[in-house]
Amino acid sequence: MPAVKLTLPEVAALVKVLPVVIEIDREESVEIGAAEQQILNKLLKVFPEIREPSIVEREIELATEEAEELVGVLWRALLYLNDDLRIEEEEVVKDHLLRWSLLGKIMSHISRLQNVPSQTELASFREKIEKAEEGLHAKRETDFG
Amino acid sequence: MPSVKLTLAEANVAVKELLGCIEAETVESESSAKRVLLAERLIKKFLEAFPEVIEIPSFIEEDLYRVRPWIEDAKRFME
Repeated sequence: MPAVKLTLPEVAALVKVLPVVIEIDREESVEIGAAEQQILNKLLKVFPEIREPSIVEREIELATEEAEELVGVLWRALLYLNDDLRIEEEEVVKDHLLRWSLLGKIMSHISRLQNVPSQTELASFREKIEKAEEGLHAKRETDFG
Repeated sequence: MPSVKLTLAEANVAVKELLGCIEAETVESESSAKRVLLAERLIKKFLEAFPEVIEIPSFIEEDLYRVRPWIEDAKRFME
């Protein structure tokens, strides 16, 4: 089997990029995503000091009106999906959880927002999100024993 | 200006939602035109903060091309 010697910084660079590629590939082709996932797993096994294939976190500055627009967009997307929450589909649940996490971050960082969902609306939606998370965990346990 | 820390996955979701929002909007009033332009501004900001989203051949460039007519309509409306 051909071997390529890699340094730790090279591996770190790959580990940073591969999850991004996998995410994009999911839109196009499961096979390519799977091959990259295999490479990623191999790299993490050989270099255990790099723990998680961490997805890069960055700071983004939002003006209040931009934050409000984004909260509105995300909230409408959540309400729309509310009627179509098929917890058996992992991708749907993951997208849903990401929207929820983004909404929460914006609302907790920017307190002066107007036109945000009410506490009652948020609480009722939180229950649905928790059910989706439970469904996702249960599915993973069934799939992976 | 308040800032929010985001993961790449969250930024991807935001950009996708904003693109969908532009497409769904009918530019018939000043407020709808403003919404389209604000969404476009946000997308640009996200793409600046996460350049890897556009470095990799992806849906983003095609989608931006698709929503361009809505953005142009909004700009004309606001002039």
